[in-house]
Amino acid sequence: MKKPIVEPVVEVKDLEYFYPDGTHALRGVSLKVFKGESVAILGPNGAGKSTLLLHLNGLLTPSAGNVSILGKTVEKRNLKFIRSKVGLVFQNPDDQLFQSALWDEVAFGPLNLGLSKDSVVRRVNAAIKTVGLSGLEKKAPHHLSLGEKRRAAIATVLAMDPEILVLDEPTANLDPRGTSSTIELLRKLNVDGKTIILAAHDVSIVPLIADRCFIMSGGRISSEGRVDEILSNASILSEANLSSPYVEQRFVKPAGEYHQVRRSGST
Amino acid sequence: MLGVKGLLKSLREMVDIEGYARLDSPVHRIDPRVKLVTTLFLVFTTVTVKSIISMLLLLIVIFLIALLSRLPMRTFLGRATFIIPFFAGIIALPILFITPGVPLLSLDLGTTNFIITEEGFSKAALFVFRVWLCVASVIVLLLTTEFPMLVRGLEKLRIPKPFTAMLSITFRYIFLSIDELLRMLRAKEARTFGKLGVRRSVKLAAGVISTSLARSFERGERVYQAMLARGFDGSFRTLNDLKLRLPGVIGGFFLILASITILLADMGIIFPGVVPTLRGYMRILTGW
Repeated sequence: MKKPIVEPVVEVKDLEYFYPDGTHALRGVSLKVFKGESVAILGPNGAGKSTLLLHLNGLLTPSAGNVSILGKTVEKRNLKFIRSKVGLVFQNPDDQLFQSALWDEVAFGPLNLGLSKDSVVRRVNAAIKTVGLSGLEKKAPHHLSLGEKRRAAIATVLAMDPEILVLDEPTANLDPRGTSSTIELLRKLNVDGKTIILAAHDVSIVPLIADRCFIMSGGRISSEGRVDEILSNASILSEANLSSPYVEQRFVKPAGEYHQVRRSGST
Repeated sequence: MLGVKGLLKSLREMVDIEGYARLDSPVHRIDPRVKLVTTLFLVFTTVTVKSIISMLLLLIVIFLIALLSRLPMRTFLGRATFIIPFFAGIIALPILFITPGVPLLSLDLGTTNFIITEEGFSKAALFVFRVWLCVASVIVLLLTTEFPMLVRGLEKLRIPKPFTAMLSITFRYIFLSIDELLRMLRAKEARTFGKLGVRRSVKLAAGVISTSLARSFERGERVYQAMLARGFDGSFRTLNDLKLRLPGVIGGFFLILASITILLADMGIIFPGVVPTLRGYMRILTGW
């Protein structure tokens, strides 16, 4: 386990957020993520995961509390810096891919950074290669498969060379092959030094990607810890309505407890 | 509603031009800017000329380009004709009846007697033909140019970025919207038994329309957020490495020359005898 002694790269403190319609989506969320970590935010639908992630990139402004990235508070004057450091991959790639060709799509971010033409070209080609979509540069997004779209969406932020990658349900709706290639890609990026934060409701992928996880439900973080600790604790999972027979089989050891959980928690 | 579904499906097919735009031909290789300007000239000439002879000459020009582009003729003709009934047809319809002249056909609808006149018929036919020519020249452009290149061409022609970006985004999302509509219609069908009355059909259609409007609006929000997340600050930046190449420029030059020639001949400024003479031949041949 990593024992962080450095400053966190992401620090969220007592974050509260109300949507304009009055929904109290985040109720005092605090968390720290350290450099090079891969953490998962686990929670059922509607727990506030996506809302939290939108704050990391400054797309939402906290109603109370604050968020800081690499020591800088997320606020208007730091937005340019923060958006160049935090790459946000949306859940639905169709929301992220809005251009009519893959290459142009990936170039959008680097161009917004105001880079020179040469480095834009270099970064775009490298990002497309990293996610394994070389040869599809001229393709229109609507001609890509969902798995390809997802990797394209990751490429669009990779090209901006962010330190922190934030992904909302990166494996949602993917088939097993798409899921495993996405997981592999994320692992590789993590090894290459990117800090990864991902939101998920599918407990089964978490041990494959993350070292540490936060359990979120009802706008709060209910527990945090190492992935194996959290996932082997049936009561934590069932409290957050995250019980999954598959994960229990793998992680929950005592037979008695296992049966008990099976009865109470349903997925 | 089945009609709507068929219509949406063919619309989707019509918009899906990428397969053809990636083919290779002398026309495909012409710089998009040259093609845009040439098309503009062709369209301008088509809407300006008065004589049917000039329009037939333009038809020949457009067919030559289509042949050179090696597009499947069926595709080209199908797409050029597809929208005619919806737009030109509807506009041309009243012309049939309101133009005074020799009666050709009369429709007796109880209280009123609609009369189609010969003049009305030829006027409407000419109008539809004119629109067809314009659409055909634009279709050749669209089917021979990859969309991103077209957008680049427009950018290089100094069309403001917000417009080109809007065009690009529209092209990107039109497929999604059509697919979403089709899915909604299918979901509706799956729960519909037998025939619905007109009232219920209209109500359902209203529901589908409002839902898809709301969904597009929400998607728009999310797309914008995703753009902001990647550092978008309101100005569109693009890399545009279009370079003009000589053969394309020459091809474009000749096409523009051809359309200007047709235009001037039509106005009687050059070759004053040609158009009336051809017109005379045509009268003799067709009696029109």
